Amino acid sequence: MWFDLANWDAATGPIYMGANGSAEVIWTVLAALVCIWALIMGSRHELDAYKKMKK
Amino acid sequence: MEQQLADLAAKVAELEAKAGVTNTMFAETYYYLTIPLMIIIHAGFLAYEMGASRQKNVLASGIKNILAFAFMVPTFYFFGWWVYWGFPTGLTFSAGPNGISGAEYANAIALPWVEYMGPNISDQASGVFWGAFTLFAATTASIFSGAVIERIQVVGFVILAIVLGSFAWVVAAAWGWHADGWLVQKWGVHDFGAAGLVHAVAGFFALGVLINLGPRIGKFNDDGTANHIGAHNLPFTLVGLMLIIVGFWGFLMACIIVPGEAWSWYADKATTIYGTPMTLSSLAFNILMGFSGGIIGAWAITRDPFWMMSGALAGIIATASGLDVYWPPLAFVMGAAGGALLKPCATWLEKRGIDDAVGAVTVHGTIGIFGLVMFGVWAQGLPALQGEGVASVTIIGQIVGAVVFFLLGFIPGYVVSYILKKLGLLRVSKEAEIAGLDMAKVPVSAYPEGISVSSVPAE
Repeated sequence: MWFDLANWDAATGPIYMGANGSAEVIWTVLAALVCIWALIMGSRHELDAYKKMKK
Repeated sequence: MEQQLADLAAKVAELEAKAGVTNTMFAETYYYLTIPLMIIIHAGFLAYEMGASRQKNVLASGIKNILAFAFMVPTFYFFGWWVYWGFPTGLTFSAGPNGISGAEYANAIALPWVEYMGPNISDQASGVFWGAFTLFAATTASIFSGAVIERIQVVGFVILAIVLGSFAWVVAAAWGWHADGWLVQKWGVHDFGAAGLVHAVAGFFALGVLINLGPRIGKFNDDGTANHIGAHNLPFTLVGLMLIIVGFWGFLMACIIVPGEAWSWYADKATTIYGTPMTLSSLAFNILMGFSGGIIGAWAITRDPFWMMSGALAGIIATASGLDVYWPPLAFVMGAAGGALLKPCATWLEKRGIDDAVGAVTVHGTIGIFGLVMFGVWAQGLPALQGEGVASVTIIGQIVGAVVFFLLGFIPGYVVSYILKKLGLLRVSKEAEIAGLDMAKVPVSAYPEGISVSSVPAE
């Protein structure tokens, strides 16, 4: 990703890895998917816990 | 006309001098304030370890923790600061390419009897740098401290803490953090927030000690299966972990070199310790994203608040090497991976008979190595230093760094604890361990009126 830079003295503007490419969108979508997956799994665990209490 | 020019020149000189004073005061204040912020880490470790102890050992754990901090200050003054400046080029003690390392340089600026090691009007940097590094050292020693609670002797522990905090990690920092360090110069190692050179060194130092120290009585059954020894006050431990994270902001802030001073890399840009440009905004983005990713990753796997807050630490540690240049959602994913890895790694270690009371080997050792090596995956080609023709970050370079940091932690931890064991200075007596260390040696009681059970834990 990743760095096409020979000398930091020449660096201006964005300095993150993957700047000016498509990496920003890919990682943002992936991070959002992690959040959604965690919520789905969390919800399952919580509902299972309530069911257990009913029994 | 000539008079006007002379007046103008005098005015410009006056303004320059004032701007210089302002910049110097800013730089001095910047590092000065990282010191109390990092002391919050120690408030956190104190609460964390006392809470994680059983009621019978709570104050003994606290005493150990307080002493680790106290002994780190004079020992880092006596020799730790010298090690950082003397060791970068390896065991040759020669000067590196930047001319700010080697025995001669260290003798001039870091011996405890030179003029820079005390109040000096013409030096507004040495004291605050030394103070910040002393807190780095104390933090490193405290990382190891939690793993060994409830069965280590105080003096043996203090000796180990000094070896780790004022020597072992300092060598790692000289090699992998200092701009003249051979790992940086030759291998392009980049570890901005010290995932490897602090966390991995401390985590694997703890592992070396744990092998000689052995598990707490009752931790393992005859068939090798492990019993859970619960924290006597988990809420206290959780608050402690959050305090450690507050202090991390000071730790990571102190890893930046501010601009405009004689010792700065640039007149107009803040940099990492390697001289590569960065901003405090980079830290704000990536610490927060790593932190939250770590909590969510640990929650998804464990549902356990202890591991969730440890996941917060793991999330920051997993991203620490590249906090200066990560894209924030990547930091989040790295943090989530770190948080998710924690419990399986800790269980793996426990199945091998290692009783790490707070998961320090996993949180700091395993995740530190994970963060350091993964940075090599994401950041290949990143110039590791400021300047022309410098080494670049590579996966191989990061792996070499990881191996060196592992050895710099594990070997001293194992060897020194082995010697202490032979001298009878490592483990408390069986009778004292069973009765409780507070009763055995602490002249006050933690809970003179007792405490009661709050609830039965959910399955």
